[in-house]
Amino acid sequence: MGLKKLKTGHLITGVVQAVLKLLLIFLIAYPFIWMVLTSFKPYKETTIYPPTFFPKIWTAEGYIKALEMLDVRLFFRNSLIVSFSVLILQYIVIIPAAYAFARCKFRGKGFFFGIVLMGFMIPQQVTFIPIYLMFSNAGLLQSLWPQIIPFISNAFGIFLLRQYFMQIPEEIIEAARLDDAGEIKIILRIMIPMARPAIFTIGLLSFISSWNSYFWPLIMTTKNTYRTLPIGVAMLNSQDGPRLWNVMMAGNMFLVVPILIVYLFANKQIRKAFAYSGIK
Amino acid sequence: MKSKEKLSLKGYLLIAPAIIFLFIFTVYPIFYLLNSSMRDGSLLSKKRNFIGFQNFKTLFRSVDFYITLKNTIIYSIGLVVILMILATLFAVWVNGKAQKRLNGITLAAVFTPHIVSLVSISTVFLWIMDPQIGALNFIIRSIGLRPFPFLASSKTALASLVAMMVWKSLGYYSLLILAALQGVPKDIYEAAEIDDTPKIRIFFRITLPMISPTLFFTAIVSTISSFQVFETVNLMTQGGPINSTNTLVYQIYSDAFKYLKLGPATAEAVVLLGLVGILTILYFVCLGKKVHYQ
Repeated sequence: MGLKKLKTGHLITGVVQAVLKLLLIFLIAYPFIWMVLTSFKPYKETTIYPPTFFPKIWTAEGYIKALEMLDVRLFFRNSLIVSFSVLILQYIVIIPAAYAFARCKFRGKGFFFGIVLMGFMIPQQVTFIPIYLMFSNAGLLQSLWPQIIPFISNAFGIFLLRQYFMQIPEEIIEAARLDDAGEIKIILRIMIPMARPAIFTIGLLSFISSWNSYFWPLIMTTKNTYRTLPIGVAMLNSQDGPRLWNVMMAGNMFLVVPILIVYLFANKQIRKAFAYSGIK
Repeated sequence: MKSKEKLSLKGYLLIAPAIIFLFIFTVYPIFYLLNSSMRDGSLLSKKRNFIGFQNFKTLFRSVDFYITLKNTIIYSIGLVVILMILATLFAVWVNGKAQKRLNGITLAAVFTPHIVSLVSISTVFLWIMDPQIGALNFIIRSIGLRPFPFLASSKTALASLVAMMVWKSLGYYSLLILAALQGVPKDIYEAAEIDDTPKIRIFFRITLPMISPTLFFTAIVSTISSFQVFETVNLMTQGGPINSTNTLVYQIYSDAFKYLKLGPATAEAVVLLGLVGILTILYFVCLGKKVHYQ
């Protein structure tokens, strides 16, 4: 009798917990569902009260308007160029640096690593004015470079890779040195293959952060020619005149859908990567 | 001896590109800020005169700057405290043995907003939190309550921004706390289970003390990142209504690029640098102690 009571009790708490979890999932998903549904509504339907959940009339009006108002192809291309350039160029800079910090002996190593830590802790919200002026004086504001160069020396990447490189057994490197392998060869043939998970993690985090970045391109661009997708989509949020909700939500879809597709296929890897990013 | 020297030269060559970039984009800007914060003139002037601490004096005499600082600190502390509590509860909840599959799905879903652009999240919430026709007020009205002003009132705007960020970041912080929970040795729990200790007592006596270092360090890092709030303010409120959501970075940005007041803007950046610096030092001092005692 007592055992049976215990079992039904278990069952009820199980059901309650499952319902609460589903409710939480809905709470998180709701704004995204709302975004998708609103993007297919005609403008008029977005201004009525009470709001409709499913569109009464399904239309692509929002998308057509968004494509008219924005050169989505240009913004999309700029976003891709910036994200991939940062992704590739940073590897060339941070992999050798992380290797040297992990494996080479040289004077002032502590001092230089201190500079890496500084780069790690000081946010770009502090340093953006001098960096803007530097690019302005160098005449580089009319290019994509201000959105790429400052991110190449990824301090977090150096930090994480160094940890990985330090764990690789010394014997392997010694053996390679006896075979007369140079440092570059050691990096390419031993270090990179063995640190593949860390390299992948750094790439994912860097791509997601440059794809979503709004603050930096907002400051570093004056012309649409060099702007990325987040800036374009934000321009749909007109500060004068009525907000065209359906157009804004359609614009959001261009920004959100690619990242959600990536998340759908690599959600475990992405969460693992972000779990690493917490180690500061 | 010779080979050692060669090795050391190689070290310098390998770190050179990274260090040069870090000098240009981190070290130099800090010296520039310190210098510029003690000069007059605008973003466009060629020559700017040294005026000592005048910019800081003006800043700390201005009521608006105190409001900005207060907003930034209330926003950060509010957000971090709420996030830490909710994320801990959520992490403990989905770390349970039952319903493993559903837990995995819930965690994956709750994490999603963290990787979505703040531009999209801000504009969707502008629509959802619209005082007249927004979906949230529709729900609030339909259960018979008075509509909530959200971003339209100076009393509720900052809290609305906090609420939105809780929605966005809950999954991320839960992930970090979950990692700490899974690092707690299992045999400690087993001993408690044999003793039939109530779950709440297990949480306060075992779980919480075991993960408290992670909670502490996560709280500091997230306070530092909350101090940098800008995107949501710029996209949703422009600092209003009546300055109630004006934050430090938004003010730096407005002073520099809207009003071209370079001196005050860089002085404000120095204040932000100071705040970040204090928390960073606290972080490393405590990290050093933790490593020492373990």
